[in-house]
Parts: sequence; C-alpha cells; structure tokens
Amino acid sequence: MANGLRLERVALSEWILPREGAMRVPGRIYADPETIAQLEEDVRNRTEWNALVQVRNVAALPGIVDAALALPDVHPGYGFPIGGVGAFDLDDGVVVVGGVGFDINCGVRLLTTPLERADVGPLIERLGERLFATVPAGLGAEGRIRLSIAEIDRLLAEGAAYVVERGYGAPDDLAHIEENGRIENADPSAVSTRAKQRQFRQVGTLGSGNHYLEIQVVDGVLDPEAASAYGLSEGRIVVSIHTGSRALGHQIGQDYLKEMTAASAKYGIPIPERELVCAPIRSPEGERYLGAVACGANCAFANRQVIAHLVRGVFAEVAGLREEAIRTVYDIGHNNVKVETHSVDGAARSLLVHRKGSTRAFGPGREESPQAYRSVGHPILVGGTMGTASYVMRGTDRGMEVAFGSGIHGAGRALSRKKAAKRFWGETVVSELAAAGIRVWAHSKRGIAEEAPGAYKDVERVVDAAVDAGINKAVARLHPLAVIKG
Amino acid sequence: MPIEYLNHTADLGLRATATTLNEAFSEAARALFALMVDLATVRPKQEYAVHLEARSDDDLLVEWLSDLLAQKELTGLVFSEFDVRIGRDEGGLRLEGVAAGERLDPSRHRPKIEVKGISYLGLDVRRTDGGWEAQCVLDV
Repeated sequence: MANGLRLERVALSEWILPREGAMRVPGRIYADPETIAQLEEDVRNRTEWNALVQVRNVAALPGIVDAALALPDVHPGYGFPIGGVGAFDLDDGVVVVGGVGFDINCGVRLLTTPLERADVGPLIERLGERLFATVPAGLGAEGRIRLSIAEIDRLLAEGAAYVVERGYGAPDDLAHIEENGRIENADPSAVSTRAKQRQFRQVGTLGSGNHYLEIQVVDGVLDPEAASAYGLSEGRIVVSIHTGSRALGHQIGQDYLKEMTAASAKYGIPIPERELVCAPIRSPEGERYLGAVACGANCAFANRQVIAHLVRGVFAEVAGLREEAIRTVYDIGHNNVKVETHSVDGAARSLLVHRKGSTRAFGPGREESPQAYRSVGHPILVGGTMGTASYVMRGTDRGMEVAFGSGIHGAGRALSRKKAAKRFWGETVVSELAAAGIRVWAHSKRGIAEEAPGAYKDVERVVDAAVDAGINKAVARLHPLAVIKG
Repeated sequence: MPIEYLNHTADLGLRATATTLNEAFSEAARALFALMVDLATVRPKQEYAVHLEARSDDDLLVEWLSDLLAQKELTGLVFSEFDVRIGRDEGGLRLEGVAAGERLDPSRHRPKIEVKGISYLGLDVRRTDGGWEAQCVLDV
C-alpha cells in the first residue's frame, strides 16, 4: 500500500498500524471493516488529508504511551484524526493543540423530562418553535448574558458553577457534569484579552455546523441496569444539547497554535506535520496552554448550562412543567486533554490524555464518575445526525485497559461538506425528515445540506464497532423528534 | 478560478489563485466570508484596517484570516471587499490591509456556517507559473 501504511487485523473490530519509521509506538484502530476500507482507500488514492497518516503522525510524537488510538468514528481531522486518542507521559511527553482543536470541550448535555412520548405528541410543534426562538443559534446570534472581563474571568475559573450562581440552573446539575462542570487548574491569565472579548456576547449560544438541540424519545433500552441508574426508560422524552466553547475556545486554539509553533522550535521537537505543534507538558508553554484549555472547557460547561436553563424555561412554558423536573443526566465533552491515572503494563501511571472527537468513557468504579453512576460508570453521549438515533453508552473494564477509558462521540462524517452540499438540498432534507416524523428548525439551509444524514456514517455501525471491540457498551437509543440547528 | 473549495471529510479547505500575492490574500478572505454569508448582500459601508507581521507567507495567511474571523465577534462586522498590500524585508513580512463590510444582519446576509479556526493543515502559500496560490484548511 502507498506510503507504507499497512494495517493488520488482530480482532473482529481491531487493527494495528505497525510501528515503522519515526513512529514511537504503533497505531491501534477500533473500527468496522467498512470504515477500515475507507481509510485504506484514502491512502491508496493519496487523498491529501487522511486519517491513517494522522494516526501515524501522532504515534511519532515524543512521550506517547502504548499506541496512537483511533475509535470507530475515526475520520480525517487536522493534526489528530477525529476519533483520535493520544496519552502522553507527564515527564517526557508533549501537549498538542491539534489534539484538542479549536472547539475546546465541545460536547453533549443530556436532560430528561418527566414526559412520555404520548404526552408530547401534540406539543412537539410548539416546543420546537419556542426552542428555536429562545435558544440563540446560527452565525452571529448573540447570547442573553452580557459579561464584563472580570465576570468572564470568573466564568473561566469556575465553569458551570458560576452561571448556576447567577441563576441559570440548579446546584444538582453540577453533580451531573463531567468534573462537576469545573476544571480546577484553569488559568484565566493564560487566555488572551481578544479571546475573552470575542466571548462577550457568545455565552449561551448554540453555534452552527454540527451543533444541535434535539428533543428525543428513548426508543430502546439496551442495558437496563445502567439505564435505570441514569434515569432513562423506554418512551421517556429527553433533550440533547450539542455545543462547545464558542469563540473563546476558537481563539484559544488559534493563539496557542502560534505559541506552540515557537515552543516546538525552542525545544527542538521534531514535528511530523505542522498542525501537531506542541510543547513539553512540564514546560512553561505547556502549562500555560493547559491552564488556557481548562478555561475553554469551563466556558463550554457554562455554555451548555445556560442553554439547559433556556430549555427548561421553554418546557415550563409550553408543557407546564416545573423547571426542577427537568434533570441533567450528564454533560460530557469530546475535545479535551486531561491528566488521568491509567494502568499501563500493570503499573498505575499519570498520563496526559488527548481526546479529539472522543469522550472520556470510564468504566465502573472510577471516582471521577458521579456517585450515582459509579457502580456502572458514567454515561457517554453519542450524537447521531438529524435523521438518525443518538446513543447513551458507558465505559467498560476492557475500554479502561486498551483505550485509556475512551469512547466514541458520534456517527463520524463520511462525506465532505462540499460533497454533501452538492448532493443534498436543504429544503429536501427538511421535508424528507418531516415525512419521517422528525421536525427540523434551522437558521441555514446550506448548513442543513452539509449536515444531511447521508453525509454521515451510519451511527448504528459505529456503535456496533465500539461494542464489538469491547471498549463501550450501549445503554439506550434516542430517536429524534424535533431538531434545532444553527 | 480564483476561489476553490477543497474536499476534507470533516472540515473545509480553500485555495485562492491570483496573479499577485496581494490578490491571493484578498481572494482567500473573500472565500472565507463567502462560507459565512452571501457576499453579494454585504455592502462595504465600514472599513477595518489591518496591520500584521509574520515570518513567512504561510504564517501571514493564518494571521490575516484569523484576524478577520475574530473581528466578526469583536466588531460585529462581516466583510465583502479587501485590499491587501504585503511588503517583505529581512525581518519577515508585513501586511497592511483594509477590509470593508457592514454589521452582520441575519435577515439580509443569508448566514451560512460559522468558521471556528484557521488550521495549519495543508497550509501553503506558493508561487505558481501564473502567479500565486494561497491554501489552508478551516475548522467549521
């Protein structure tokens, strides 16, 4: 095969990219044969940006431990592949901006309501309309909160807790957010004034692209024990919110790409591809980036917290519910870098784990999980596409052993945006979905075409591959009823 | 073709082709804003002056596009016309530019997608037989 990239199948859903050349560790890919065939075809066709080359490049970075991983939703990104995981030794390893990306802690919040499918039928149109009118979304939409620089600094340091203090949601939400909605080592002084200024009107906005807000129904319980722990039952109406750290995170990414370019040169780190510029974890540059990325993550938690509050308001208004009746199941990001303890060759080690388009997926027993979920492991929230299901999954012991406790984050794109926009027509996509009982409200028709269900891999295939590989376990299936897009 | 969008599975590449480096940078900026709004609807009512320095052509392209992108939130403006002058000395490159546009009005500008950042992937500013090409991949 071209470029010397040759995969070896070692199990039903597991392939190895053997170590060669500059690679310090092998690549290991968990995926279904169809995804692997696509990756290999990209290599054969010498597609300019392909995910296997990206796995190989990550495997060449200093201090990487065990293997450069790709999960079943793998597709080409920039720097790391999407669906990519890289764990690095704290002393010898590097922190990589391209291992997190511009949308720091982009993730999903899942809310449950006391409503059942039968209750919501006549209300869905009104709920969708009111959510579309209430939750700012799309290019240029502005949030309802205005913050000063001092208030932004508090938001960056305190995350979701800060907006709860200001009346958006309840303390109980915080106990059901990854890291309680606040990453401790956040350093607002490591974030540029420009990044903070860009965020002034962006708190509580959904954004565009693949971000969404969906009303869904639980239409399949696959793991009753975990589903019961998470408060999910067949027929239950839930709401998913997919968004990230908005302009603040984008600017942190942009600022630190530049800083890391200088740091890579300063420390003489060989960079296989420019998007992988990095700094030693224990360097001043590395520590500043980690302080900044924690701010970006806190901003994303706060953003989803504010949107959850707006969703509650709409359900209270339209369905007459008490706001407290809408509970946060979990909130978890999929563009992150975190210090975590993992067992490597039988010994516990502290590692810096980058997950780009991948969630943390800790199995049973880990103290990082909320108390209520500890016996089964915390939920992983897997976004589908407009016309397809989303999944709630959980981590497994095997996932802890072989994948640094990581999970899939979504269906993963199959078609480029350019191809999708050419193949699909926004209005047709909306009417086809309506015929299937899925109502879509969107600010941009072009955005809808690019996000057409046909542009994505089949989410079921991605979920099945994660289950076959033993790294994640399916808990519940969520079917969309109403979709709000930017 | 002055502007071409390139296939990237998750994101979007753009390539601007022009006779001069200055024009290639202007075209790249047009390509960036054409992703976000319908350029024909954006009137060049307000000007924003840009002064940037960088060590290489590649870096300057990222600086230029990411600065314009940031202005979308900082000033509320979207731009449709660009005038760029790039100078070179021993220290590197200097860009003096003017972007002209108006406040984003979703009811009139037919907003499309948001661009999150200008990545280093595929970043390439180069001289060709006919002039210059400026290429980069955007996170959208």
